[in-house]
Amino acid sequence: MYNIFLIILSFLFLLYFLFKSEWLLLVAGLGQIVMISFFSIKSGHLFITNLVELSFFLTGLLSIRLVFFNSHLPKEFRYYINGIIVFFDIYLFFIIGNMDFGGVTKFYSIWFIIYIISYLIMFSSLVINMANIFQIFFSRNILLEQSMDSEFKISFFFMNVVIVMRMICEYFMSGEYWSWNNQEIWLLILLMVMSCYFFLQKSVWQILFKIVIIILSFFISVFVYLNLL
Amino acid sequence: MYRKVSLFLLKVFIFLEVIFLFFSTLVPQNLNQELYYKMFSSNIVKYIFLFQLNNYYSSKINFVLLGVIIFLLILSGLKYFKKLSFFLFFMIFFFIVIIIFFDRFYNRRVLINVVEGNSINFSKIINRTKKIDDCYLKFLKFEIKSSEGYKEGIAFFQKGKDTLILSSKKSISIDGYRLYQKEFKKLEIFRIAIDSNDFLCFGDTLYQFGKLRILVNKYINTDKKLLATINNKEIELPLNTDISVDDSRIKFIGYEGEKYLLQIKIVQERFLDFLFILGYLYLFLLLFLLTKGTEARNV
Repeated sequence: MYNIFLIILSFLFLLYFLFKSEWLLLVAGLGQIVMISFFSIKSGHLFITNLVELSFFLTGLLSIRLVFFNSHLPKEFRYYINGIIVFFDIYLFFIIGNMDFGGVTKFYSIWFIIYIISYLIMFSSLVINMANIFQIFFSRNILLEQSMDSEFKISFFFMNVVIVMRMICEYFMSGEYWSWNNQEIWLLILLMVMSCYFFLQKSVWQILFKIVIIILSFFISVFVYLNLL
Repeated sequence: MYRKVSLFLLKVFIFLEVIFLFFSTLVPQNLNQELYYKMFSSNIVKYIFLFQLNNYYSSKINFVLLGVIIFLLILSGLKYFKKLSFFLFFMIFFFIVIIIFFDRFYNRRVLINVVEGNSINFSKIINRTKKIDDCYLKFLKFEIKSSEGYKEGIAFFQKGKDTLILSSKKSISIDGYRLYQKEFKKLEIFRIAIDSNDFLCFGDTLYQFGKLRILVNKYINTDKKLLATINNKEIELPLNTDISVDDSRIKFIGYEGEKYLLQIKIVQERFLDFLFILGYLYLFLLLFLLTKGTEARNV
């Protein structure tokens, strides 16, 4: 039942390529998030605590970000991201049969949900920035660095929220603020790599370094995302 | 000039810390030295011990690197301390570090074991200075909820008329102290007497009573007898029969069945509210600095 609804909503992403209306993205994105919420409530586990829900929430969040995305970039920019969403959704439907739908978290609090959502916002900003980088290389328009900067600031802020929320979760679960487990170390590595972005200025070489930091952050965050729960 | 040098050093030290952290995730922590030689080649093990990667998170290298990074961060940002927002941001960051340090070293942390059906005097454990009424927590029962391959232990406690639920996924707070479920074991419980003194013993646990070292191996229900290892000798203890071992008289009084032994961690919650407020202020000021634009990018 839920799968059919999710397939219909994902189909809306494909329709966007034909009709080019942002309303389709908004409906599909919000619909996915609402469906996932209903699914978690009905299953009786904590919201977005398995990889399937997490992934559908991410694609929903990305599409909403696209609708309200205000930048100097051309409109084609939305197609790249939408392409990624469609590709990701198709991949999800292929693996959905083999995946566990239960809640798999060891944390059980509202702070954990904030932590997950903050991470997904951070991750979606990095995905948008990756598309931004492709655009910079294709159009060779270095002025797009401005929109790269503003998007990176969003991801850096939410990375800090992730760290603070992780500390709160850890305190309520173990009595320590930081327990140096692998997940926390990778979050710290990610924060340190991202913080290096703000040392760089506006020369061409430094912008190239910024691009390297974004790509590196993206790959680290993919690794963290797969081990987030 | 000093700012350029400190910024350069800051980048170098962040790079070093990231490299060390990365390698530390590849090395299992706090194992016996021999196990590292089995896992890695001797050349790699040499470097693991040289850089303390076997216990990196509490090593001097980690603390020095983190300390230097924080110091250089403050040094490179000194120029911006004239601006109130930057000054507040660094001060909040500094206070958060100080409070976490105080919490780690000055807030009480106690580990206690409690058996199903028994009570603990909470006031005595937390050692209150004020004279107040005793607060007893009775460990009523323990349940294991298995779902999706994960086991969740749920302990039910009675405090006065209230029933408190302490789960492995959820801690509880009592009078400024937070209780966490650390681990649980299901053990067989036996009552034995040594020279007319009664003791409760758990199965598979080694006990030292004076000169006697006792390990209960097995209870045979059909014969009503206990198999135990006493001072490295295997001895059978029939029910209510005195047995003499190394000048001591041991008697197996009864089998009390299987019960859960729960380990609870109790942590004092001092400064927690203050830390929450500082955490929110930190995020708020970071948002302010990032949206403000030009100054933030140069720090």
